Amino acid sequence: MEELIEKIKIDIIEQLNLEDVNKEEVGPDDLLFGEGLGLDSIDALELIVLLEKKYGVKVASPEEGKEIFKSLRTLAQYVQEKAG
Amino acid sequence: MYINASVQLSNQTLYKNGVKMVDWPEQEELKSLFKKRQTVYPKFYKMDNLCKLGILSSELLLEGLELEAIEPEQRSLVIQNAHASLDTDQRHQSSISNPKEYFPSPAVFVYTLSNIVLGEMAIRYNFKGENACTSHRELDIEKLIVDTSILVEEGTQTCMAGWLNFYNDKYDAILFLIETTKRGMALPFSIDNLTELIHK
Repeated sequence: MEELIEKIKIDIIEQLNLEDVNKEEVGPDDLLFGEGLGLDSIDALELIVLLEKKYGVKVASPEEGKEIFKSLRTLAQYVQEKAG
Repeated sequence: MYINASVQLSNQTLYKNGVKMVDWPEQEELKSLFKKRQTVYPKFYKMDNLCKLGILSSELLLEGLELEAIEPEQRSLVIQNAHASLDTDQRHQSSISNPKEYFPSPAVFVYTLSNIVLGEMAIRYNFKGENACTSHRELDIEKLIVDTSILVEEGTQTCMAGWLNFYNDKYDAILFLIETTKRGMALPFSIDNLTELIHK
């Protein structure tokens, strides 16, 4: 799980052009939106594309997204669960 | 009306108020230029190249100038370019051209309009007045004067006006700060003075 979290973290920083983010400072349970990493609504759409493109995992509903995109850990759990 | 400041930025040179400031031996990327300024604005890195050019040029144009006395609604933008958002349009196109690899990026798609750069500049510098974005083969100074003058007649006190073009890694920006009161260079707003400030 920790390895997957790390991989997703690197993918997010790269895909979302988070140039000013130091990857060492982002913890697995930090919030991705709001006061955490500060992602916005376009980033949320970009995350949906990233999950499908790199992990073959689809997010079906926006409501589901709220929980999945809470932190790196919830994202990794979802990927692990769906990717089987 | 006065031309109070100007900036001309391309891959290889930077002119400020008509004076050459830097000559880069190699073509300089917008991202590395912005990083060197140590400006904290994370959104910059998420923007497309045309918007990066708009923000960096504005940053250079407005540095050291106080805008607080001017109401945001009295600050306007008049921008021209040749390639509109074609650079980003083509990036988007390449992400959807293969049906088997169909992954359009929302972060790219939102920049597929030429006037988005005006929105980014307006947000960053609180320019909430009118704005105009038109496409031409090259900078049309007469039209720039007409458009800026109309906005001033309608209450604009400060206007960033000029040219922002990005295509195939080649960029070219010419921005003037046109204001109703004197400061900085304080050159009368005329075709001759605008032309003289542009280095071919």
